[in-house]
Amino acid sequence: VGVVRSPALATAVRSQEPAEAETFRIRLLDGWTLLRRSEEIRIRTREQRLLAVLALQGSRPRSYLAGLLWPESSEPRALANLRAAVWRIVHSARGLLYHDRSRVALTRAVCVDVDDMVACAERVTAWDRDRPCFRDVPAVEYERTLTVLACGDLLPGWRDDWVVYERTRLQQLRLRSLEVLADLLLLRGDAASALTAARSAAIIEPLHESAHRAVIRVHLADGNHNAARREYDNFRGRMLRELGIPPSKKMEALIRPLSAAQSRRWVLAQTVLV
Amino acid sequence: VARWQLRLFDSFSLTRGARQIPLRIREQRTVALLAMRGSRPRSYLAGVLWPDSTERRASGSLRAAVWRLERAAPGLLLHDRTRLALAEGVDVDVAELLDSVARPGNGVRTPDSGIDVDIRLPEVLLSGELLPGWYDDWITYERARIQQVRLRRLDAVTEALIDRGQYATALTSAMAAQSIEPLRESAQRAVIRIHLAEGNYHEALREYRAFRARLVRELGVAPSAQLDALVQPLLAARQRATSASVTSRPSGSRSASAQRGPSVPAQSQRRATASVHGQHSGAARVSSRRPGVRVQLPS
Repeated sequence: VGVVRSPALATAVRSQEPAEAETFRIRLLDGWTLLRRSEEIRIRTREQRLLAVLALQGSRPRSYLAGLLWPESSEPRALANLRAAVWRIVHSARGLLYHDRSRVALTRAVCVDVDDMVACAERVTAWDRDRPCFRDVPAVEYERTLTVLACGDLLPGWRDDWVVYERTRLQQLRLRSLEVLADLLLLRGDAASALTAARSAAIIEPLHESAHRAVIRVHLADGNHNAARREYDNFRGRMLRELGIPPSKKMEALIRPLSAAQSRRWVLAQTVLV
Repeated sequence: VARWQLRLFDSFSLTRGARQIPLRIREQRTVALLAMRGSRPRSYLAGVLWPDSTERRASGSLRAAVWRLERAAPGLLLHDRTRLALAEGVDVDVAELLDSVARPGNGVRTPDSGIDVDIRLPEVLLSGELLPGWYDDWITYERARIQQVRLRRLDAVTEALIDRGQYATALTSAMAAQSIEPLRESAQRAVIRIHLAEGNYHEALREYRAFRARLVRELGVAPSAQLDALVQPLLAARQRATSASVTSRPSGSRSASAQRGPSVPAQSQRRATASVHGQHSGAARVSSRRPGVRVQLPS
């Protein structure tokens, strides 16, 4: 006698078989989108929330999902909501979910943009660890990495704790990867791409100093002293206005040679005038 | 022959090679208990798994579970009349975590405790809770124990990484500890120290304010003096700058703005900055993303 198979289990087992790779795409960066091949599938907020948790956290027990998504409801009510959401998803997007009595997960036929971004961040870390090899990386590859890292915030406007935490984490990851990438591109002598990387980081968080330092480093390395100076002045002004704090010593150290040169020039001009 | 893989972090999953083995809750609980506690007498297992049943009923349930497991996952269990255990060579993620913590590190010592740690942050250290959503007493106990193991190790790794100036990885580690226990001050201190070390003052202050608010809301206490001391230089600089801008105003408006406190100039300035940066995403988005700026600092 084998295991008694409920109809739900039978579908679960079927969807476990390696389906056509990546039939579905879930996009969470810059807002919610669900695609089957290239056609958009529209689903309601409740189902979106369930898919977003699974996309971010992986396979989860039903009781956990019910508690996370419907914290105000009683347990039976929350579990019923979950069942309804699973049912709807299974009917509008077959092959997207794995589900059995105890847990729910996305199948391997789904590709999530957040995973792609994290992979890009990891790639940058690997390049950084092995700097000599980075010189051999083809330009297309780091350009793609740059594009992926430059894309937007996780589910903007969603306020659930689990989204907010993950949003902050991904933001930090992007900021850091873009800063490192800017430095690597500079080493490669590609100042234009380096500037794009540093700028993308600076746009993510207008008060993030290390990103602005990266922008200034690129300008300095490229000999654009004026642009470096302007970037510094803007950042300093913004910090003082918004936080009432000047930039750190690291930032000052970056710009100091410039100021010294400038004041020397000024003194020279004065002496000539006199 | 493919090995059994048992995952208890994030959710229960038993696989062999690429094959997922579906188990019912009763069988899952039995396997999880054996994975956590090792070889045990049947009577012990029955008592832990079915604490509310009579002894006879509980051992009946255990026999049924073993019978089903024998069919769904042949070879997973070792059993005789009195004892049960998982077979040799079942890979369990919990064991992997405990091994990685017990293993001697790669020669990096943490600055204060001098523990030798592996600073490579294995995946299993960053993964999720033990069987989330399971509420049995023994699970709750084991979950707390594992989280403590994780937290201690993450703290040590964070310290070692900060010490070596590897801030990016240090932040990943510190944020992992923070997510396990949002009210843990040591993790929060590490996050703030990393931001400060990198000159990211805005982030440091935002983290400080968010943590302070969380502590007050949930526990009704203020952060320790140690945490305050970290951001004190920033707050002092800010105080100086604001009082300077207040005194530099024409004397007629001074009393009014002094009464409204230091947040007023910051707020009116913020609007100006928002419109400067508004070109790419709209002024509202820029300001809404940084609500911390509006908060008036507690004195």
